[in-house]
Amino acid sequence: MTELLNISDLTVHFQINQGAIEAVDHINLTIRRGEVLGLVGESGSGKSVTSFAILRLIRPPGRVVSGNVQFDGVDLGSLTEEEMRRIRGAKIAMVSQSPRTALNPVLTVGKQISRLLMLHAGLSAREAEKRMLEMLRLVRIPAPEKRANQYPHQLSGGMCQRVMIAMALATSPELLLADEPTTGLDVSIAAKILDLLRELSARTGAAIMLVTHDLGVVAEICDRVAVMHAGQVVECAPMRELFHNPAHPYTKALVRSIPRVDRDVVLEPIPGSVPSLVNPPPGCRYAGRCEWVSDRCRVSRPPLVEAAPGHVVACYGFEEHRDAN
Amino acid sequence: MGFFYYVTRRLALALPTLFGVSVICFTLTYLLPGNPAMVKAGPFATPEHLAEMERQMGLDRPWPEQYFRYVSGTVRGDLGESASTGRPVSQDFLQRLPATLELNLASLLIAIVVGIPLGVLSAVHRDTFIDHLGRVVGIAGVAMPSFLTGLLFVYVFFYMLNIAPSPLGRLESGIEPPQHVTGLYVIDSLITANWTTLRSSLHQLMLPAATLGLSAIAPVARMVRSTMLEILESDYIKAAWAAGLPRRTVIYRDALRNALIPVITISGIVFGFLMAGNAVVESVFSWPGIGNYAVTALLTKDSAPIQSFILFVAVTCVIVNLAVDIAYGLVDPRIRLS
Repeated sequence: MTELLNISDLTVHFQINQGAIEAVDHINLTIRRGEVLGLVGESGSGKSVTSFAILRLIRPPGRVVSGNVQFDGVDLGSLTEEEMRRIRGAKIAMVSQSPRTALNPVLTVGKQISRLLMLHAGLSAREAEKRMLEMLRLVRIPAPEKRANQYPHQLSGGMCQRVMIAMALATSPELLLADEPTTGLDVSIAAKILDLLRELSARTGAAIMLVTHDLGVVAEICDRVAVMHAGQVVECAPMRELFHNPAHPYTKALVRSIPRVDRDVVLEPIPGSVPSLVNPPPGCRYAGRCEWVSDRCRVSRPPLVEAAPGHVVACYGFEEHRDAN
Repeated sequence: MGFFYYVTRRLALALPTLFGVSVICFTLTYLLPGNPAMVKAGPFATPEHLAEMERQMGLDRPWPEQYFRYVSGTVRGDLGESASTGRPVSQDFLQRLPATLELNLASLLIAIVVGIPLGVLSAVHRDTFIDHLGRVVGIAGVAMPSFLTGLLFVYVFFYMLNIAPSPLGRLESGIEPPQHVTGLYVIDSLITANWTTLRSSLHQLMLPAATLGLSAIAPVARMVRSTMLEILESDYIKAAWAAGLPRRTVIYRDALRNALIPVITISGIVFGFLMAGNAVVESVFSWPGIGNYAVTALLTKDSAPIQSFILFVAVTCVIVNLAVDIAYGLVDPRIRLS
């Protein structure tokens, strides 16, 4: 598989009175064509900011301090605003968190999809309408002709999320940024939405970057997983490898905190919380919560190194604790 | 069906308000300094003459009976008689109403046409020079009393620059009013293609409408600004940017359309406020409307026109609020009646 998106050295700061919040700190990430990459981390770890940064939609007080985003061989940073706009929604689409509020309340859902088709695919009103109904059918919305003329408040949360997915996929994007697509939906609906995403990406060949805090979601549909902590990518590995051989202490802790029905284990919460990102100290940002911490961790930041083929980790201590679980 | 029921119910809800207003207007006659009978009888009336006048006016009857007579008269369109013009107040009102409506509608139009873009610009360019300028203009418009802005406008545009006509009424002297259709000169002269009158009436309307409109720009602009700011941060606007919609569409279609919903409310409130505020402006520009009529009545302690003016403003507010509620349903699908 070839690379579709390559993020290198991306740093995003938010300027506040007390200094800069270093929301995303020198991250490197690659998404290959057609794959589903899970981006996992606690709230405030910089996952959503990363997806907005890919679309160049960081606005003041936010600022992209450094970094480079290559999409399909093109440096997105070098494009004009107008060129960038033509990529948003057409080649890189986004499925937002909270489907109910991410749809415009005063437009019918059909109109919200068809206008994107007219804009990005250059379809006529009639063609767009036809294609819009196909999309609604594809995401399995019953009675699409009726639903298309309804407003978001007349649809359930799950239905709204299907509409969002139809909207995002209508223009056949190459990359789908799905930001917590299942929050606020109940478990059975969430599972159906995930199946739908997986199936549609397989059918259209679109790659997905799935932003989530839920490892259960990751296990369900991802090919590879990147773990973020406090604005940094601490580990990245194929999905099974990550679950079976987590190398970073944070990932290990995350895996241990998944509730299991097949084994009788006590859930272990991760001690502490994400450190303040306002002028954080140098060194590993997990040091304050880490059981393996050494002096070196507090002064310099561990680089990403290969733990196994296709498996990278940013930790000084992982070698000596390789066998510990 | 549902719509009809809704309107009927809303009208029924207005009844208690109207009852309260009628009580206030009624009591006001007794609170105003000076006995209405004395005003009517004149300063040289003898006590016998005064008693006779009181009896004629029903002022010697018990107050519930007086209230009942007042309400039944009002419902039948009998608003009493103006002591100074000697004509029925209802007749005076009907004659002057179009002038007031024309002025208020023009002011509301100015407030909306200036206020909405000002609010949008302030929100889009938040905390920049444009935003601050908008704030200053808005606050100045509210803080300046209308009689002062009115006089300033007259001084600058009529006296100094001589680009506005003399502030005397709705038409320049020598120009005939247009054929009566709605009573609004601008509209009537448009309908009858009477260009000379149209020009003159617009010319005369310009300054008073600007004066009154200026005081209403700020509420509209502030409301649009704060709603726009909130909406620009909303999830669906973020989603709209992420979907690659052009800036024009995102701001002027997606965001503004949602921001206009509260503007309907504020327009209703502003209209009621203009109805009451026009009294001063009409006096400054000798505008022959009901505000001017009420001020004159106030100065001569003529109670029936004052009562009627208050009642009229209150009823207008009730009607405008009803219209606002109905308009809401048309713009916001979430309120559309099922």
